[in-house]
Amino acid sequence: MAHGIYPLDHYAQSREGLLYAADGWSAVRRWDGLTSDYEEAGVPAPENAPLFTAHFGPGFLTGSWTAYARYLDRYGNPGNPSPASLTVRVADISGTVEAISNATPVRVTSTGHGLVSGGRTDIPGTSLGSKIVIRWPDGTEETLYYDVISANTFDLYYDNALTSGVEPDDHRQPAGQWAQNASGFTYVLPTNGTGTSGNGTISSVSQHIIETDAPHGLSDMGRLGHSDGRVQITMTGPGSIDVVGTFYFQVQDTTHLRLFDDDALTSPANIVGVDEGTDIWSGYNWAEQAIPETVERVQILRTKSGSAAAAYVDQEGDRFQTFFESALDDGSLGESVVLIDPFTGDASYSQRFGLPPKDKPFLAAVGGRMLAAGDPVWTRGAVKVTEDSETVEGIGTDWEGDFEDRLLTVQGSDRAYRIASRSGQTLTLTEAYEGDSAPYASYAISPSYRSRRFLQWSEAGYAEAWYALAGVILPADHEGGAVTGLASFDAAGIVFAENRAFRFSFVLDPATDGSVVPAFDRGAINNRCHVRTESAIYALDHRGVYRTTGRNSDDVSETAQDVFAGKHSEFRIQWKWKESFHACFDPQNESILFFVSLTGGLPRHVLAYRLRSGDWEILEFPVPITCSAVARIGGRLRVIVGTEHGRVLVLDEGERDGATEGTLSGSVSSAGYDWLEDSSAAFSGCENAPVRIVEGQGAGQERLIVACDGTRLDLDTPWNITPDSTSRYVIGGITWRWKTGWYRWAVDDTEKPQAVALTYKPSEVASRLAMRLYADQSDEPKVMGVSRSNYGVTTEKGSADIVVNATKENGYAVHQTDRGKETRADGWRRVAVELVGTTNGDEHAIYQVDIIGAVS
Amino acid sequence: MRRQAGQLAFLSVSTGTASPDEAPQATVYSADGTAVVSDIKLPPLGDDNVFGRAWRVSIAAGDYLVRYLWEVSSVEKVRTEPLKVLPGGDAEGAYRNLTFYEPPHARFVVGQQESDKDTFRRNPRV
Repeated sequence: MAHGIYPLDHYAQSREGLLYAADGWSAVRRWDGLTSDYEEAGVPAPENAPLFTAHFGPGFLTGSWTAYARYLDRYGNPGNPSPASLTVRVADISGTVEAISNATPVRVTSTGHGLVSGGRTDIPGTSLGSKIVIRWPDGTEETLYYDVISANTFDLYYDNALTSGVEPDDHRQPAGQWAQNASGFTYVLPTNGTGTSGNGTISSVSQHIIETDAPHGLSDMGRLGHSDGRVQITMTGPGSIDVVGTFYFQVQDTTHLRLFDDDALTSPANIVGVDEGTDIWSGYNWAEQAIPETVERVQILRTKSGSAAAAYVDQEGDRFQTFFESALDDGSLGESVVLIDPFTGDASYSQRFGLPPKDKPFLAAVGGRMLAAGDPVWTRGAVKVTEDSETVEGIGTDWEGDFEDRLLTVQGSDRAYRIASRSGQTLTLTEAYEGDSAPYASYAISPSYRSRRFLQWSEAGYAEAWYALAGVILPADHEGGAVTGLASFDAAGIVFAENRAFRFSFVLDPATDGSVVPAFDRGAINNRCHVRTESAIYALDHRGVYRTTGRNSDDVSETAQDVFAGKHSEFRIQWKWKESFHACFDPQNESILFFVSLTGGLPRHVLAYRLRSGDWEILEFPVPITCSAVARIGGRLRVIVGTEHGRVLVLDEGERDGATEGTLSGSVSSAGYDWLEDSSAAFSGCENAPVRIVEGQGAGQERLIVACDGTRLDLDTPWNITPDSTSRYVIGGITWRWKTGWYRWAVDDTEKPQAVALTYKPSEVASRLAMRLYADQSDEPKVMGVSRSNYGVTTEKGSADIVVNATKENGYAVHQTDRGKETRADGWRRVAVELVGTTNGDEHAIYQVDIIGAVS
Repeated sequence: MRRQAGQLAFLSVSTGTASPDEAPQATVYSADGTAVVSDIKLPPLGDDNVFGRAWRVSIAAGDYLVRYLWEVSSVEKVRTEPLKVLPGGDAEGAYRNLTFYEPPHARFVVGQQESDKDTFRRNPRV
């Protein structure tokens, strides 16, 4: 798809009924009919991981967990999970209460309990003290304090001062469990240049900084000397929470290190969240700098203990929530999110809820998924390139959208360059341009190699969740040309190229049972030139129009082939303007309408294919018709078209184009270079409507009205022949033309009448209706040799028009031609009749055309 | 040239047999000599030193002059062309594309104009 005109929105609706617009250059947008404007489709991933928080106290929960955050939009669509949190590990230092005494304080027997009198002392600056939690046989839990009596026994108290002993009670019999967890921070220094490593104890932690209890011996310069320049934090020992992370560091002073996630020291590591001396996490802190407006909810996910394959929904809150309290054990977690492909072990599997692709302009909904295809190329304007410079300047390029990672190819250069960024009409390349400098060179900006001919699909049931690897490469096909469109039909995707179509189908999962095969050797001009009806798709390619059900094609334009092949005497498709062609199904007339350019410029003509008869007609509009669609208006499906000046028109509505009020027809009083005046008129609201001279001087000329005021009309282009007081005009009249095939005058030496008769519905108001005669395959109509007026027609010497009195009461007019000639005499032998008309507020209905004296 | 607001005016100039040092630029001046649109850079249209591009008219009705400026071997060259902006039109330009969207609560004609403006026409009627 060469980009010659503009980034064009292509529309598709999802299974859920949301409207999507894609142009292949910027983010896919979504609209639900409720918001005032589009929203960017897809749910981004949070940049920051949630942080486990903990309360100060013992508990039974043990295990190893990692947490993630993810966003939900207001439809409940999720995005990708955030980066993983630090892994929290709570070691099991619980024990069994083997026996309990019947005295106060109760004495617990637990062989080899390992408790330290007065609480652990190996954690600098903090201690749990002698706190412990007991789970009794009836399920109740009590947080109590212990006093170590021996290696196998301890007494229980209610207070830390060990003055209020716990008394025996039925619910404390006969035994139970106890648990105590404590924590400590240590760090492991990176391997230094001599291959040795060190470690120490962390005495405190703030958000990004750790404090060591002894000089760490590191320096910033030393970082460069180490093999990996990283410091690892580990919380070790029984009864501790382990926070394992590997970070880059920046020395603050001899006992403080600032930690980062990246070697460039630009992303500070969030290591806060596990407070010293705590043991059981009780929730999550989570903060994000900028949350997209489309995000409605935030979910906190965490793994089950010891498993990294999946995360499960733990908590959910609104987009402003920064703390998520949780005490769920593994068995109580919610919906799962697979993080690692169970079949391949691929860890990128967690990224299945990525954003829709920005570089695919064509979308189609198939089988509960959205498909995306197309390889947009931008060639508009030229570029100024400078040797050894990374900067490229656009000249008349009108660049817009996201160009990052696309490839720039400049005429005369022997390689492509990857684009790092775009700012206005200036590109920055990832490396300097190596070719010769050029002040204005042709160029192309195209997708990266890996995404070309890549047909992508979204996750099942999620039109906005895209896994970057979920797709299939279309078969290489040089003759087929570039991908030009995408449609859905019969539960399959039809990918159109210029001269080929591919059928993509699947049953459950495209990744496992999907297949793409060349379907037929016809294509589509662009993504707006294939039209779906209930039973088939009709598409326009360079060879004409065909019908397909997705498996084969049937040409339907044989009778109009001259127009497509450029052999028609009058109408030839101007393929140069093919990007502006479009088509739609006209349900009212059961026709497929192809809006094409037959005279150059934007489409003003329609090639109309009548489905019932198989006939083709050519329609012409006074203004460019730039787009079309079918809309339900007044309970009926109607064709609507877009045109200049932000106007949307309805086809086959009323008897005038663009004008309904004020004076709409009359006689010219005076006229000038680009205006006319009717002193008896009251023009109003007829801007952008056509005005046509239907009688008198200048007849046949049509102009668009740019301004109307009282008695004067100002026009878009000057008159070729300035009208005068003999001229009559019609505003908004619908001009039409129809021509018969060729007929032969009967061969007869006797004099027989030769005439053309017209039977029609009389108009209520004067309007233009005329006949023209063509002789012997001529492209020009016969010019009348005499002026006369009878039988409802008027001819004027020198004019080709045989003007019909459209208001004649009996609706019958006849023009008599020359009498018959001898068989061998020279003269015209074949005849064709053309009818032309311009309505004036009511319709022209022609019932019959008789060419008297002719045979087919 | 005669155009209405929102229509495309094709600005083009031939630099003759000599290739310009840089791409020519067009500037649109109002009747009083004020530059109303400056530095419209014109890319080449082919290999015959013709430069030009379509420009969507976004200025008020009136008479203007388009000045094309370029240099050949550092020697400045100029050509001019009249431009008449007619009354009427729509600065947002023609419709690029249309679609019909019918969620449960309403009917919409959704469109995109050349200026990139998106329109959402609710419950259309004739």
